[in-house]
Amino acid sequence: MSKPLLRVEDLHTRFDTDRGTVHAVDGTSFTVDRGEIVGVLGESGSGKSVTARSICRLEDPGRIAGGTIEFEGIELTTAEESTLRRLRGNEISMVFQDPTETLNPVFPVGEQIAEAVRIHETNDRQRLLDFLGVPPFRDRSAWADARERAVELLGQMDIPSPKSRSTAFPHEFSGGLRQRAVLAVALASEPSLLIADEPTTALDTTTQADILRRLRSLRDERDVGILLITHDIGVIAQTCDRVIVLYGGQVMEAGPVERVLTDPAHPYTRSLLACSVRNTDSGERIHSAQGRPPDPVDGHEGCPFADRCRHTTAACREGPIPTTERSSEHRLSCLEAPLPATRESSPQRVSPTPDGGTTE
Amino acid sequence: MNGWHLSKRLLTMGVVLFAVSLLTYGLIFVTPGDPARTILTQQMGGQSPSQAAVEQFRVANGLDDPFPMQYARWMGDVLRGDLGQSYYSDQAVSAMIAQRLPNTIALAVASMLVAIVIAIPAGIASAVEPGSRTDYAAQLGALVGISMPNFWLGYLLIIVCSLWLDLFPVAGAEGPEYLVLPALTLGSGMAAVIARLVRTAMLDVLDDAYIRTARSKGLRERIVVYKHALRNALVPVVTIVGLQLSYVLNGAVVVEVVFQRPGLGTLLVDAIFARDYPVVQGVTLLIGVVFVVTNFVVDLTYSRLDPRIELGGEPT
Repeated sequence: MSKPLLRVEDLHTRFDTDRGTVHAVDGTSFTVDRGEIVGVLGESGSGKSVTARSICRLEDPGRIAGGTIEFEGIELTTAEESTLRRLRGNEISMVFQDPTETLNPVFPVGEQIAEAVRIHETNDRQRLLDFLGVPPFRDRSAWADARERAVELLGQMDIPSPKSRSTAFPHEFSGGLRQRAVLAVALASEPSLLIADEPTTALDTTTQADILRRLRSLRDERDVGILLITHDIGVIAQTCDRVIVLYGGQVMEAGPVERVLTDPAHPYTRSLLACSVRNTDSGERIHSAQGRPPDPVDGHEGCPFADRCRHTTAACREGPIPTTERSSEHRLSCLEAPLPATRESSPQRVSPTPDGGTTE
Repeated sequence: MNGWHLSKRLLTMGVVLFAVSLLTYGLIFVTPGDPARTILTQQMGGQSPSQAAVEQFRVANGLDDPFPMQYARWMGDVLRGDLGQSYYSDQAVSAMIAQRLPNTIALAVASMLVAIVIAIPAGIASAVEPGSRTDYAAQLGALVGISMPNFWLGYLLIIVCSLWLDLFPVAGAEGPEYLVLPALTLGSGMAAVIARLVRTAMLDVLDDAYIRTARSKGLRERIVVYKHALRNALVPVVTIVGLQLSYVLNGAVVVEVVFQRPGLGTLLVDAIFARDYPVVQGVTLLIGVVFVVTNFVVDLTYSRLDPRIELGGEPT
C-alpha cells in the first residue's frame, strides 16, 4: 500500500486548566487516504473536535504534547508557521460546526470565498494592504478574478443566483446556504484533505443529505481525502468508508464502516449502536448509554470506558490497553474482546431525565 | 425602512439642537451681571453708567422683552449666521470664531491622529498576547495616560522637548511644528482610553469562530488580526472615538491655554473671564452642534461597519 495522505500516530493534545491538565486527545492513531471518507464517531467530549483542530494545528489554547501528524510526508507537529499556512491555503481545508458563527459577519460571502482563492494564489506572499483593500495596494484585477471564481464556486454549491448572492452578508443567508458557502470557502483552495467537524449538526435533514452527497462526490470526483467528525451514526453509515470510534481521547475501535457497524466488537461501540433509533424496534424504548463520559483531567489509567462498561475487570483499570487486530483493518482496544456476539443484550430499563442524563 | 429611521433620527437631532440653543441662550439670564450695564460700562470707558441710561439702553436693544421673544430674535439671527457682537471688540462673534476655528480644527485632527496611531496598534498588541510583557507595558502606559492631567503633561513636554532639548517651539501657532506638542498632550490621554477599549473589544472578537475559520484558510496572522478581527471590534471603538471628539474640544480649552495657541479654547476662556456673553454663547453653541452632529455621524457609520445593524439600530 502506498503512503497514506494523513497519518496520525499516538497523538496527545492537552489543555492546561485551573483544575489540572485535560487530556483531550490521549494517544489517538489513524490514517486517511486520498479518495476515502474516514468518520470519527464519539460523544461530546470524546476528543473529536480537538483531534480535528490538532491536525490543522489550530489546537490553541491546547497544546500537542506528543505523537506525530504526518501529511504527505510533512511532520505537522513541528512544522513552521509558514509551512502550516501554506498547507492550510493549498492542501488542508477545514469546515467547522455551526455555519452561523464560522463566517465573518461583516464581509460579504463572496468576498470571503474570494479571499480563500487569493490566499491559494498568492502562495504565502500575502500583503496586508492588498487584503485590506487599500486602493493603490490592492491588485484589482486579481481580486476581480477571485470574485468571479467565488461566484462560480457558489454556483457549484447550487446556491441560487450566485452572482447577486455573492455580495450578500452571512446573516442574509439561511443555515443551509451558509454551510454551503463555508464549504465553498474550504474548496476554494482545491484541498487534497478536507476536515469536516460536525458539518451537518446544525442543519435540517434535507440540507444534511445534500451536504453529505457533496462530500461523497468530492471523494469520488476529486479524489479528496475527508475526515468527517460526527456524533451521528446515521451520517457515518451513509457517508464513510472507514470509521474511528473515539472515547476519552482514545481510539476504541476502528475499521471499515460496514464491519464496525454491523459487527461491533467493542462494548462502547455496541452501546452507541444500541442507542441509535435505527437499531430500535418499534414500540421498544430507545436505549441510552449508562453514566457519563469520563473526566479527562489528568488522563486515565487503563481503559477510559471502564467505569461505564459491563464487562470491566480489574485488568481494564490498570495498564494501558493494547490494540489488537480483529481482522485486517479492524482494530480494537479492549481486553475483554471477543465478547459474545449478541447485540448489547438484556437492555437496562432506563429513562431520560430532564437534564439529559439517565436514571435506572 | 431606512428612510423612516433617518428622518426619525434627524428629528431627534433637531430637538436636541433646539434644547442646546435654549440652554446656551439661557446662560445670560442665570449668570450674574447685567448685560446692559456691562456694555454701557465698556462704552463709557469704565465709568459706571446712570440707572436711567441703563434702562434706556435696555429698551432700545430689546433687553426688556420677555425671554421667548428675545430668544426668537437671537435664534433668527443665528440661523442667518449672525451670532451677535462681542461686548468688548468691534468684531462680530462669527468673525472671531471663524478666525480661531482653523487652529482648533488642526489641533483636534492632529491629536485624534496621534490618539488613533498610538491606541490601535497598542490595543491590538496587548489583545493578541494577553498577559504578556507587551500587554502589561501597554496597560501601564494606558493607566499613566489616563491619570495624567493635560496641563501637567503639557508643561512637562514644554520643559523637556522645548526648553531642554529645544526640539519644538514653546508656544504659539505659526506653523506645523507648533502643533506637535499640543497634539501629543491632547492625543495621549485619548489614546489611553481608546487603547483600553480596543484591547477589550479585540479580546472579545479574537475568540470568535470566524477567526478560526480565517486562520484555517491559511491567512497570515497579521491579516487575520488587522482585517477580520479589527473590523469586528470597530463598532465600540468608533463610538468612543466619536464621543472623544467632545473631549478634544474640552481638552483644547486647557491645552490651548497652556501652549498659548489662539483657538476656540482660548477664545472661550478669555470670553468667560471678560463676561463677554455673546462670544461665550457662540462658542458653546458651536461645540454643542459639533457634538450632536458627530454623534449622528457615528450612528450612521454603525450600519456601514456592521451590516447586521440596521440604520438607527443599536449595536449588538
